[in-house]
Amino acid sequence: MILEFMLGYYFRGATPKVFRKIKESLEPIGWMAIINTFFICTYYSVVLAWVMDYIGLSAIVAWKTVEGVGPTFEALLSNPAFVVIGLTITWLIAWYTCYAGISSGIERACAYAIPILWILSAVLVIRGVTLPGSDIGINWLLTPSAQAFSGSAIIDAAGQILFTLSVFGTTMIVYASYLSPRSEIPNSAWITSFANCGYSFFFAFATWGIIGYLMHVMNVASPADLPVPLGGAGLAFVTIPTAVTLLPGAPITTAIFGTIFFVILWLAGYTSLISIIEPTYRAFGDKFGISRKKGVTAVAVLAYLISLLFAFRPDFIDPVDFMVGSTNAVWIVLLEAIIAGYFFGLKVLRDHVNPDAEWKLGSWYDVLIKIVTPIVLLAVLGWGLSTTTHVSPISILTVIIIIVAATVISGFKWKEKKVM
Amino acid sequence: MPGLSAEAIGMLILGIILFYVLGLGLGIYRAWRASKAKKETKEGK
Repeated sequence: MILEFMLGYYFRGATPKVFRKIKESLEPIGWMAIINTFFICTYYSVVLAWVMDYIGLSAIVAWKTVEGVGPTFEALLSNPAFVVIGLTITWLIAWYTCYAGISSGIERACAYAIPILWILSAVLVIRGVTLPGSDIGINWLLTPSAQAFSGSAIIDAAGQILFTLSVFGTTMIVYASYLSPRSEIPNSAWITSFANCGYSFFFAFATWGIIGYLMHVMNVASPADLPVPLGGAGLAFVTIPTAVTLLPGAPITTAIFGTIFFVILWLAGYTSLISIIEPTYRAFGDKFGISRKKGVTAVAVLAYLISLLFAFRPDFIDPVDFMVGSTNAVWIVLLEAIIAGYFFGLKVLRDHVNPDAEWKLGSWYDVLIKIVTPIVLLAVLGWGLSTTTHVSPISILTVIIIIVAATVISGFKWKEKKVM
Repeated sequence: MPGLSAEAIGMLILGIILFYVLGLGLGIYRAWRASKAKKETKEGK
């Protein structure tokens, strides 16, 4: 996080520009990071479309009974026309947010969305932890288990923390490039990370309190014995609707807490979606001198068209996500650490931010970036890729597309102008 | 939640310290530094 903040703040551009300024031949790696991010928004927006549809479905408790929850989700997946409605609305909102600019669009959207997110989450956390049996779920949440460690789990966890912090070589670099001169960097990165992880820790009590309630109602000893999924899309679209259907006071409480849950999910996803559209636009803006309005529109239209594929083929999402959202994110951060550490002087970056830093970065930071980070990320990748079963032809095709597209785009001439 | 195990309570305390005491502490430190700088600028004038 600190490194990405420093790269954006120092070089004032998106990843291709940053890497090109470090060494011209490194530009394709910057484009790989950008195209990887672009791919994320194509399928991520489809998940957001499901969430948007579920805001409506929850409000009317469309599944009516517990038995209706699974079929409702299956019906959604097999009805792309309904998904396309949510997808179109989601893309229009995200497009307009980035189109409106940094202050009037992205900053304003976050200034409203994040406090609403916290308030609604607090409502759900209070409901979650006060349900009978919530302590069973929360015990599961807070008790470490050695059996849970596996190659796929580790790479998923690494990808998840990089994704949730938006540390995948693009978003934070671009956001930091907009900071005014003499901004504080290291403590801002710490506060950003703690705020994000603090929210995740907080909201976990809502999710696991509700799962504990489900275990209590269904009289099972372990979450693994529950007849509902505990991860991925199934957790949000099957398990939580099942649990809220069984709440005391249903169906009114089902409608209220189900809708709150999906509004929270949509707001969290929406702020992430705009943060992955922005660096894609900025990279093209840097290179081709495209204005914000044209650039954001072109990126949004292209991403929307590709996202239609995932709306019609939701089975493509998992294999692409494992490669793009998890594995490639780790690769990119690994390359970023090597490029910044060995091809550019970290001392230059430290000297640039230290005069205004609340916590000065010493030479210990160089050791972290040059030695510790690459070793840890290589170990995660090696272990994860050697044991995973998630790689499929679609995952490999995605990587080929990213490499080819990055190489082709790098071949075009730069027509740089100031982009904001 | 009286049913929490000792291990879970330990992790809960660790989480609170890590995410809220430390995280909020950094934010409060920032706010304190900002208000101090503002005050010094005002007095300097």
